[in-house]
Amino acid sequence: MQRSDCRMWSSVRGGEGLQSLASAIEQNHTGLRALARFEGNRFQSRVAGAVPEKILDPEDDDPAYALANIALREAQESARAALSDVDPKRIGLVLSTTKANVEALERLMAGGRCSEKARRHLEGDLLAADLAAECAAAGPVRCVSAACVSGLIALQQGARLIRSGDADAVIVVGVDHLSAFVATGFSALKALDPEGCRPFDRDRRGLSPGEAGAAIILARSSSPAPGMVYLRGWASTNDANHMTGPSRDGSGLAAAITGALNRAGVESDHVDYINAHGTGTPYNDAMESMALRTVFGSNCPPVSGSKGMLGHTLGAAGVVETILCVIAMQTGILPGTPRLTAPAEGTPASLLLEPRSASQSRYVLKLNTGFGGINGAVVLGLSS
Amino acid sequence: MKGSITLAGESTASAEELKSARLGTRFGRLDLCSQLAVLAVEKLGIDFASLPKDRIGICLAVKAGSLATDIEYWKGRDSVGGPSPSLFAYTLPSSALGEIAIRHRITGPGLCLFGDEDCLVEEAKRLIAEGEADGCICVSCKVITPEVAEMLLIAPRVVARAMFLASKMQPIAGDKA
Amino acid sequence: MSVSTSELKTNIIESLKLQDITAEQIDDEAPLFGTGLGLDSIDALELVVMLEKKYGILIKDIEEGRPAFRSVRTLAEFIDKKRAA
Repeated sequence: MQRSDCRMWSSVRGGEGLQSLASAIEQNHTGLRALARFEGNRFQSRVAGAVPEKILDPEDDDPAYALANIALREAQESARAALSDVDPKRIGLVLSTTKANVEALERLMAGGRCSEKARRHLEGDLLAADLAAECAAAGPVRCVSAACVSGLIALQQGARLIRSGDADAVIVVGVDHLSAFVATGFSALKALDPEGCRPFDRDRRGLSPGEAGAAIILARSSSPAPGMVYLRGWASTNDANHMTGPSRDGSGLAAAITGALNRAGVESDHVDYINAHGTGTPYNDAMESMALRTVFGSNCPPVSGSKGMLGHTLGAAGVVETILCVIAMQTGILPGTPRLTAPAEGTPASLLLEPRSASQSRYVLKLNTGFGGINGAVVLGLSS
Repeated sequence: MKGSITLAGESTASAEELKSARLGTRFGRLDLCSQLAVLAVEKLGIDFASLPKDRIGICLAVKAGSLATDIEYWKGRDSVGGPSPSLFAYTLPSSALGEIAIRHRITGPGLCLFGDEDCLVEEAKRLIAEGEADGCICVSCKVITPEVAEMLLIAPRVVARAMFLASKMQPIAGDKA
Repeated sequence: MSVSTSELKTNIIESLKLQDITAEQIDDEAPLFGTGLGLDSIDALELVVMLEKKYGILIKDIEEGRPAFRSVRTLAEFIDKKRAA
């Protein structure tokens, strides 16, 4: 099985008070707070993860673009030396988002003020094009929008573009901003936890919305550099069951995990850590536990869920949470599961409540699932 | 490379055709984009039941994303009882992909692009070239209703197109919808 | 005055956008969920919205609605009871 040759640099901004993701992981930090903007009958819960005001102006009419740009610039900066002699025509960009700049829709339908730029960014493909222009990526540009699995699908898309020879580097940027649109929607579905999400917890009742901008740069690499993280394998599948309910037995997600491990050429007992989707809804976390049991039996590797830290960042989730995996691999500290206190029956025995030092994290598995029954998995490898 | 990729079916679906489409009691729950996509796939006339469904991918491109449904959903935000939960479930560009998968029990990979169809076939071929699928249903939807047209300042257009690309698969023609 | 089951069925059809089915074809006693009409959890949420919109009845907790949603008959009785209260 061929090995994928994409190394990664990354940057993310999300959650309240997060100075550095690495220290947030160490402290098992939760960035979820009760927000004034979600007061009122429309909202089942006030608790969500918001980017600090000093980073994202609450009056910005184009928060999708603003958030994505912040992450993009930082990622580019960190990859500057390595990409300095790559022809811009060989640098692509894949945007991952579920709602693009839905802020503009809310403003326009309220008869409020909305700039042409903000209106333009209602369209994901145009948002992607403008971000590509912003960072001089003149290669292939795509906008992936596959519900909560968008981020992982976007990473897969970037890898395919490199492997097919159509790009030497791809900037994968994920973004979704906190919106009343999404918060009311999840409220209408009664899918929010009034107390804030508690992934895998016995008393969990739902998810918490979040927002983030995150970027990962994938590049072709002929010779592995020690300490670098590689995208080694991936897969996506469809449950074909129900639009908002995952398939009861987790078989679709299990198939995605197996597919990703096969593509990576990694045995299931060589996986050192798993970062779960773990939204905190009764259904998702139960289904995910079943999928893990199907693939790993009673030998599930250490696993944790990060949505108690940032909330569910939707289109950014796959990118953000992959970055958390990269940090884990490079620092040797596996994240815990913020806001989890009492693991539910049926959840893996290896569930990490608190962060843990790991002697080595050579292979890490990242999972996400989404509305419509789509599942995604990627396998990351650390080069020695 | 697995050998040539052939075009094994092509179809279009319009809003007018939906009126006479008989696709089940629950078809009405789908939003306009999903209805068009499902109808276009039906009109391909392929018997998916005869194919290995975990080796079929679904690639969807949606110009203007889910904005038509988004507008409809958000209109109901202050109505008595609140906005429609069912409608919210369709405020994602990838909803149609899920509906196609559900209808035909297709469990292979999925890719949904927010944008026009220019690179749809190219991406389907990439999926097949990577060995992730042996066949791919490609659907392109444009759901630019008058309200979306007004919001985006572009021309209205409502249509869906479907194609089936196959490498190792020999699709059999099934009963058309 | 008792709620009309015929009107209730029309409201169900409209709220859930059911196609190719008339009110007459829905049996008053038939299960709404699982078998019978085969409705699911999202339909239940949609019916809660419909109850508020069309009958002014608020269901705070979906568990309260569960026994009421068993059939058209039980739903009609639930509406009558709430209105009388």
